[in-house]
Amino acid sequence: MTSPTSDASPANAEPAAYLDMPPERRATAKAHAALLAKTADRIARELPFSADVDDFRRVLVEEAKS
Amino acid sequence: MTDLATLSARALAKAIRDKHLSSVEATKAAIERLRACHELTNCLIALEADEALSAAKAADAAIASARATGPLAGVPLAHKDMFDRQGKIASWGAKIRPDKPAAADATAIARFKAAGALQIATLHLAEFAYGPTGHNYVLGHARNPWDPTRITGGSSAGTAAAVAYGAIPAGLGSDTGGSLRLPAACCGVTSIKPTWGRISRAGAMPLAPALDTVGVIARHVEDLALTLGVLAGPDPRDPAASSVPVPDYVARLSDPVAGVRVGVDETVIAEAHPQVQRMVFDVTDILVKLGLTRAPCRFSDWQTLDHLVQLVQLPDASSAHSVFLRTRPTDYGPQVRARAEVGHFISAVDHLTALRARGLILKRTLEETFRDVDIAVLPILADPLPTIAELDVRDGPQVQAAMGRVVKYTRSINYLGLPTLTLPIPRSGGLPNGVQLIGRPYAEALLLAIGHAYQREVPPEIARPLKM
Repeated sequence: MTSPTSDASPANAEPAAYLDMPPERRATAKAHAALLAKTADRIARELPFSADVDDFRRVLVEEAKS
Repeated sequence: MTDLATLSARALAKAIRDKHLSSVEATKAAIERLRACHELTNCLIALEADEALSAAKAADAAIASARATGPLAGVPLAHKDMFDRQGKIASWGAKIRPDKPAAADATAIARFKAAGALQIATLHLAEFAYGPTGHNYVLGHARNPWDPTRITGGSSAGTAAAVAYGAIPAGLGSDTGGSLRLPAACCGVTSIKPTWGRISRAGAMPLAPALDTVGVIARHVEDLALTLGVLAGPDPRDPAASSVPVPDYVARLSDPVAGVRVGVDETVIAEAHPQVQRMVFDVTDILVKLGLTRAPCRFSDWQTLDHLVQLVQLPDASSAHSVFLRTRPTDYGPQVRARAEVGHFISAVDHLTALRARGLILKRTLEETFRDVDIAVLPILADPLPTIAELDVRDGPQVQAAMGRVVKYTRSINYLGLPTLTLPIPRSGGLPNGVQLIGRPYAEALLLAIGHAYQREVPPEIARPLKM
């Protein structure tokens, strides 16, 4: 539960506002993240619902057994 | 008399074991060469001459009384300064450092010690191992021993420079996006980036733990085999360290390579400089001459891989640096600060999507890219060896693009966790460069056998400034 006195940022706050960055560097970082987000969105649509972060290690171990 | 600089660690160990040479003699010579190499390349963080000579005397005494039996007994090595050593503070190549001495050795350091190796120095690295070129705005940039106006590659810059110069036969590095392969290629030596988890990362400074891989840079492939055998294996201190059995890599060096299928994805390499494309084909021609067979090879979507690895790496690294970026931002060099900030703008959902997709994409790569080949060959650098000035982009708006070009052919492989071996190109009097052989998970023995055969055609060299 969020305390009324907590310092939680409002939903529309600038991301990573806590970092001291000049505006142009902030804009470049946001643009780069937006570019990568498009790929993440496309990949998310292809992923099975059950995909798990541990699948990677499972594939490595399976390969060692083969 | 044999020039000690040219000997492999394996040959040096044998000479010490057979008492043709003492560890003290080998260590004194290595210290002298490291000093000279440092003048040229800025390879050192700290030379530990007195401590090293005491350890060498102890090693000689142990060998004399047949108490030292490790495969590296008495051999002087030096490592990238990012590994814990009991009672010492690693520099991490940065102004921000651990706040107290390490309580224990990193596992890789402990395993080298158990094998009898000495550590005589700590070596240059990119600030926080977060840079692929050898630039370091805190320590000063590393310089290439073949041409000091050119980059060493990074982040394991000092190890590659010292190995190439012949100051040491081998040393530790790490690779999150190319940091073992790029410096090895730029300095004209070999390196092994093993399968993710093959070597414990316990006590190694983290950059992006989902990708971080400890490995070795050496002039001789036989030293990569020897050291990988010493370092690999499970470790209760690193839950990601693999328990897959460790083969005898040295014994497997003589495995036949005839008939091994090798392929080049010509679509992926089309974006490399034409000279670099030529290098890939030249090295592949040599491999075919050794008996390997050409076969088709295709990575399905290189740009997607490149984005996925960034979705893993950038937030992983930003998380590690999050507190220092807020509390001590001006203690960072400009480039690492700018790069470490970016991950804060990537959503947790996107980061986790890239991690959840990793198993599926590795499986697809094994089924498709490696359907007809055992080994894929790719460039390491997309361009001929750049100068330090050309890549001195600090924190400018072009930093992501410039660094992205440098790691274009390396960081995607970290997402896949696949093992790679760096092979230096035949130089023919020119500047060094290298290509990577990429294998299926745990195919290190095969990669090393191919590399060992390759070095019969393209022998290791000692780097000295070229007369251009």
